[in-house]
Amino acid sequence: MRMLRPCVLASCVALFGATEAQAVLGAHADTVQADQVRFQGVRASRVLPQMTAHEISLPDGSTVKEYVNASGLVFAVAWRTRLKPDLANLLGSTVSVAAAGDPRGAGVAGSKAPRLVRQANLVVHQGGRMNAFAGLAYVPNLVPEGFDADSLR
Amino acid sequence: MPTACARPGLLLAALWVLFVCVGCGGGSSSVTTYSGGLIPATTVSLDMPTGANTTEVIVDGGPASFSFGAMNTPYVTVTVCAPNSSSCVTIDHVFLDTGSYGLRVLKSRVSSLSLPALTLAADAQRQTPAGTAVECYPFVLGGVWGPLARADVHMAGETATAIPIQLIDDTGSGQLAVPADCIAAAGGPSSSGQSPIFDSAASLQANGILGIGMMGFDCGLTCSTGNYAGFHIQYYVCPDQVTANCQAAAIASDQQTQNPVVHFVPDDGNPQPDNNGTIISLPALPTLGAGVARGRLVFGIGTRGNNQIAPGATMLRVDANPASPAYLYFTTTIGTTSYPYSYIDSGSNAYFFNDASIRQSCSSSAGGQSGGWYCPSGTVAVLRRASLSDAFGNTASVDISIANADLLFSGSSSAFANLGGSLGQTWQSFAWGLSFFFGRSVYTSIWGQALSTNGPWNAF
Repeated sequence: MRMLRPCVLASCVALFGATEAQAVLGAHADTVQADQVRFQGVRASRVLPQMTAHEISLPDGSTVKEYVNASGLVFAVAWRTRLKPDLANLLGSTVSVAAAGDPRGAGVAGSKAPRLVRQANLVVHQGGRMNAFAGLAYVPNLVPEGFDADSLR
Repeated sequence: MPTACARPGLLLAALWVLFVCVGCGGGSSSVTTYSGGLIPATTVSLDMPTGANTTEVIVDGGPASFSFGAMNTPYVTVTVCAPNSSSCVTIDHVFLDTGSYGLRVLKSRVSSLSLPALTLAADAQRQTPAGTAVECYPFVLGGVWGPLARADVHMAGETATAIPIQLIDDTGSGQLAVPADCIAAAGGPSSSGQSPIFDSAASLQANGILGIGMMGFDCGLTCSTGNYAGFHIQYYVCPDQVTANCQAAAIASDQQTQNPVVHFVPDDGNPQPDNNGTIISLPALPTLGAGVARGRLVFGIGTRGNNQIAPGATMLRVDANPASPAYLYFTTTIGTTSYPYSYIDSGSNAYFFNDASIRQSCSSSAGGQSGGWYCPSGTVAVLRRASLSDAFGNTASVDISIANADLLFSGSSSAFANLGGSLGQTWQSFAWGLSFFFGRSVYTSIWGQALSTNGPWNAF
């Protein structure tokens, strides 16, 4: 599996220096609203002990959840969707490329297996089956202390 | 391409001895060991059931043009014809996938046919032009791109007439360039800059994909409305051969790429159409696999004498609520570990589940897949007892064996009942891939079709 490149300056800026137009990992909670508009979904928010969970529900049953830490930053995004979400928008432009492993040599039979990329500054799960794609991405150093981000759905 | 794909022709290690561990806790119950010897590649065949609604499934090294050898990849032969004509081609090594929906064949394989393009009318409200429907169909990683056409599809004694199929672009010149959004949907370029789009028999390891999963068509509401906001575009309408002129398309469910099975009409006039599901029956395998495994694909469930649900079969219904997190999944439990996102899929080439207690440090990217296989140390295979369950109280106990992938791939075998891996997922999914299918008959119902118990479910 291809690993993420180290977080050099340019990609760090792209990852954490969010634009106003979209919520990406590390961006301010205000940008969750932008995602709700972009997905044209309904949002429900829950305040939990260490975080706020925003769930965006779509007419076809798909859901996108964004988790905001006590500092008001989006530290995790989880999705369960019919189609594959545009990760460049959802996570940040560098992530969609970096999150991918290398399918060549595996053929289509190997292309459907779930994938995980785990780096110091980013974890991305991708998997699921056709019409029920699933994924989770989070920034470890933004995760509330003591919380197991891998348990998020 | 890794050298691990080279095939020595003879396989080391023939004699396996099974020790049953009495009183083991936690659901894992025994070990298997093997010692040296040389055996040639074997062919293992199951030739039942027969009948006009059955055809052969073969698990081998893949199409001739793919020289590295596919692993645990099932294939069937499909005949594709121009609608209502005798102008046909027969295509071997079409990947048999119960995890996707629709027939997709390399465009070059049907170049001798005049298949009519599937065209969409101009849409004044959406301001989209008239043109050909072109699809980007992404898997977890990798994807295919190409136009839709109508074709007659023949398998066994079954015919689907003038259904939409996808023609996977593989001809290079004169075809639409793949949109950037489709490349992104398929996971983006590789580290070496290669496209993630399967655009040849070699990259696909097949001449096409036959998706006979639980749905009748391959997208649904989002594609019907054409509102892909936040997602990658699946269907485009392209007025010409310029990708920049393609626009996101609204395409009705019956024009989307169709699961051929729901359209099958039996040539022999069987009173009931064999259009509600399938059964895949594959032979049990030797411990070190087989060079070639041959089994059967049966169309229909309970529609004629040879496809009744076996009395002892377990039915597992997948979650049918689209708003549920576990939509299309059932639950697997091993010991105290739960995998609530479990599914059965002939198109995944192993058991894929995370079990940190199974050694994973294989010596190479064996099998051409970029890591992730399980390699229990030395000659000891790991056994696990899994409980599969659904929300309706149906349960089944299944014992699985995970052997050392380095050893499995060191010989000339292509089919393995004990191949497993984990590409690092820790999030409770269990893909019951082709390893599970050997020595079983696996039923896949199609949602919305007439069945004694409504789908979607699997049985085995």
